Amino acid sequence: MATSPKSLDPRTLAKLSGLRLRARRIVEGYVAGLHRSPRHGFSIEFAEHREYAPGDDLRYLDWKVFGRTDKFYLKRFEDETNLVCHIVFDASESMGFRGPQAAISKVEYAACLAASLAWLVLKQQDAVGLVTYDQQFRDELPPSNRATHLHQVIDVLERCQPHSPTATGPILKQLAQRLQRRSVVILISDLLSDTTQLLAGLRALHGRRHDIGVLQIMDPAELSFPFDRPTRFRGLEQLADVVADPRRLRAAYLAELEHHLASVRRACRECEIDYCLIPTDEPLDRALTSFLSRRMARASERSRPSNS
Amino acid sequence: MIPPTLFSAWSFASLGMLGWSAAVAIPIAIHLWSRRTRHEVSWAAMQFLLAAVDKQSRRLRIEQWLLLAIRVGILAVFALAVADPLLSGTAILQLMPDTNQRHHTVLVIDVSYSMSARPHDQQAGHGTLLDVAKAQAIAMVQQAAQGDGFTLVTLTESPRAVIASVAFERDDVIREINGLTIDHQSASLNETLGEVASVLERAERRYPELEGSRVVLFSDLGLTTWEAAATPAVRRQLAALAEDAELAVREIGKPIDDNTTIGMLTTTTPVTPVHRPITFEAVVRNHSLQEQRRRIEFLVDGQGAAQQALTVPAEGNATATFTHQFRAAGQHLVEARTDDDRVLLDNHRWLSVTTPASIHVLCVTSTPTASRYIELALAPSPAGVSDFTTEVVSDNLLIDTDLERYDCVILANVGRLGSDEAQHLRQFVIEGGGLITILGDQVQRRSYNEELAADTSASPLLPATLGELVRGGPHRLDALQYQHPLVAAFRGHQRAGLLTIPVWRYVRLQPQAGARPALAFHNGDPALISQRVGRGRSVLLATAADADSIDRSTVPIVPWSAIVSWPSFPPLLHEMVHFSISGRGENDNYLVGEPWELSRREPTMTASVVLDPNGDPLATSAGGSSASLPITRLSGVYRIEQRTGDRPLRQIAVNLPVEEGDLSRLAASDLPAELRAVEGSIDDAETAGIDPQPSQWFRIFLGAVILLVLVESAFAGWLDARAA
Repeated sequence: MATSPKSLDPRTLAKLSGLRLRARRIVEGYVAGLHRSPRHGFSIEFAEHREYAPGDDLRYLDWKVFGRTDKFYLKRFEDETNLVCHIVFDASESMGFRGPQAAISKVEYAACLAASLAWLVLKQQDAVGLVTYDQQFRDELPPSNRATHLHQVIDVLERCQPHSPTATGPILKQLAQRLQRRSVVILISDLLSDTTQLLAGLRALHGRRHDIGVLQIMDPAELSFPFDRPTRFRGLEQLADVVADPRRLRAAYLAELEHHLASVRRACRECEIDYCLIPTDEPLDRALTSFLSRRMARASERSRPSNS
Repeated sequence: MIPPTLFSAWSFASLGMLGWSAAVAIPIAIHLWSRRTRHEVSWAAMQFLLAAVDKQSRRLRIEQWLLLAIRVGILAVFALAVADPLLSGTAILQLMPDTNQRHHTVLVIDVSYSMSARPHDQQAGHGTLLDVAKAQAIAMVQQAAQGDGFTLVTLTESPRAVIASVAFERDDVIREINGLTIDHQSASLNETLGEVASVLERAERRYPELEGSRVVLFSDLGLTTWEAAATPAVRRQLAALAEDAELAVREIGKPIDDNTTIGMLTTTTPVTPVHRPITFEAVVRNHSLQEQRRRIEFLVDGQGAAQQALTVPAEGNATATFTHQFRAAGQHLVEARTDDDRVLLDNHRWLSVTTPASIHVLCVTSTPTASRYIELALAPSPAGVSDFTTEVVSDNLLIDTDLERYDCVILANVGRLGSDEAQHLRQFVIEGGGLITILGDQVQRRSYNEELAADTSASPLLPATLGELVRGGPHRLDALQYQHPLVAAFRGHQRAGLLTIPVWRYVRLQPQAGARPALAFHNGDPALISQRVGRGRSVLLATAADADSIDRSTVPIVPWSAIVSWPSFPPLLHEMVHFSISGRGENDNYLVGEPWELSRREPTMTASVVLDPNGDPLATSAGGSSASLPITRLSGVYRIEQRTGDRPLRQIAVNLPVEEGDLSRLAASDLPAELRAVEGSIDDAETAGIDPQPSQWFRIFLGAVILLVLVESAFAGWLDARAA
């Protein structure tokens, strides 16, 4: 992967005011780093093969099938031109956390990511919708592929004020019931909620055959627990305070975190969910690239068994 | 199992240092402060932290409390260590086996004057070693088991069974212990163990139900007392006692090595006419290993008279001299004192001196001319002031003469003496009078030998028996290196004519045991010889001191000597008189414990009272011709006063025996095997204001501190490593 331009470092982005400006910078940076069309990142789910006909785009020719059968087949994708992407955005209090070494909070980082994704989707002429939530749905923007929709997405994201506890699992379950049409669901959250309910929610979405992506945004401090002196940890989302010597608790804390992350990763793997853990000190274009590359790679994996 | 009372048996030599135990609040405060730390973080991933705390809290809490306990323990044990914890003797006794039996404990408390030492330097209000010993003994009584009995014996020169019959009432025992005071004398281990044996024997006979016996000695282990522990007699006593009782010694206090004493206060002329100046000598003894500077002060009749600064070499003596002329005749008291040190008692010494207007001499003769030259020699200048007042009586009047009026009796060529006369003279000399016997041609040697020189039950009055008359001559004299006080004044004055006195006839003297020659003839026969008799002195001259003594058996006749015409005769006679009456001064100067008597011939004595140095009256008991006093236990000045008035008739100086001033100790390890040295101290040591016995507990607690510090470091390091 190409080195990220310094302008996409969260510390640099933090100096930019306005989510639009930040998102634009990210998308431009992302596009500049690609060698392939950004459309591929959000290509829809593989549906079937059909025989080649003159005039067809050779990019969709399945060369492996040709190698085995000496026949030209094109890969066809479902809903090729009517992709709907729902960005599910966690706006709970825990997302407002910003660690001592972090340049921006999780919610700011997540908003940048969400805006960038929306931008990319809209650039593909696809529809993007936005749902923000904490314990309940807060703002909902129905999917749209109009260019002006991006302004609404950004406005909603900028209005987000994280102050309430989260209930990601139940929210995902409700969302699964609401979304009648198969779509791409991108969950942007720190996933700091009840793990069992969270996994249940993800499975519910998966059960509806949505293409799910999970971007878990974590502060570096949450991943490393770098405190040394006795500290009062004031619990967000109405959790109790803890006074502790972090040095003595670090190992146990990291073990608990790892257990949680492992559970999430395992559930995502089982549900074929694209999962990406993104610390907020990671350059945003890299995070975006990493996520989208993983999606593309998985999409190719999904197409491979059907060819065989 | 540790007996509960063991905990109450702890005490502390430096109780104030326990204040450092407040420092245990420091780690607690740090711990609480750290819990109230102002470092706060809002934390999102609380669910993991809570889960971690949930799982680790019990272990973490145990670790934290353990670490806190170790840190508190370090400070607490350190405070205990610097407070110098002590385990009481009572607890030690309780640790003795078989506590179910009823015991008889003989408390033997050393009250010799070395126990008056103050452990701290001259700090007012602090106790003595005796106070420490009493506190330990009392604590032992207080914590004894029900039914235990106690007896109490003092360890002193004249040991007393203060509680001779076993006492079971603790209050009574404690009251008796509290009533013990210092005896101003040394201690006799031999005598005391004998007393202890008697007490044990009585207790076993009267209280057979007491199954176990213990003897616990509280002493400073002063060498002057305890060096006798190695003697066969004491070892035998200890072995016999050990068969009946368990023996233990509790060493009191720490060794004191900086004591100085006034070992002696003397004058060569204790009875000196008032118009003569008297020179006093005070010897200061340094018992330490370092040179000491001491100020010595002389007081005459309670008034300061002179001061001198002395440098006393290590383990050596220094002498201060002081010359004084009294203004009035009579008895005077001279005191020498030095700066206070650990032992106050031996920093004083008193001397009672008598300065009569004149020395009364009775000259007894058989012939009127025999005393002529003696009178002349004693008062060579009739117009001048003489030291002596001489009276002459015939020998047949001697028996009727009241000799108490005289200081000295001179027998000048007296022919013979009867037994009554001899007894009369013996009584006079024993009470301190001086007797000078000058021979001559009238002397019947057989009579002298029978009445005055016979070795009867009473001391022989003459220092020698009289042998045959030695002729020839002239016989030259030898001063025997002038070592005798009688002739010491002639040292360096050879021209005074002492050795050139011509002697042609003398009686060969056979010295009595204890007699000391002052002059001898060249053939070795004594010429002038002296002997102590009672408190008095007897001096015998082998030749004649009159011009009438001649040897008529030869032709031509030969005089016995020409001494009366010799220039050395007057000073020699003066010296003889002064020497003979030196015992007069001893009448008013005694050592503690020495029996002394008051002559009842003094007309005022029957109506008098004797007050001890504290002003308390002493009971006298009539006995024969004198009034006997109980044995003195205190040093100082005793006053004999008229019952009707407060003016002292006599003042008697009673001084300490000097040997106790050496505070060297016997090492506990050198105690005989029968005696077990007990470590530790007692609860009341602090209140007595003393340094208790150095104990091992201080080291043990310090060792525990070091161990705890190491454990804390290792434990904290292990926790940090695990956290990292």
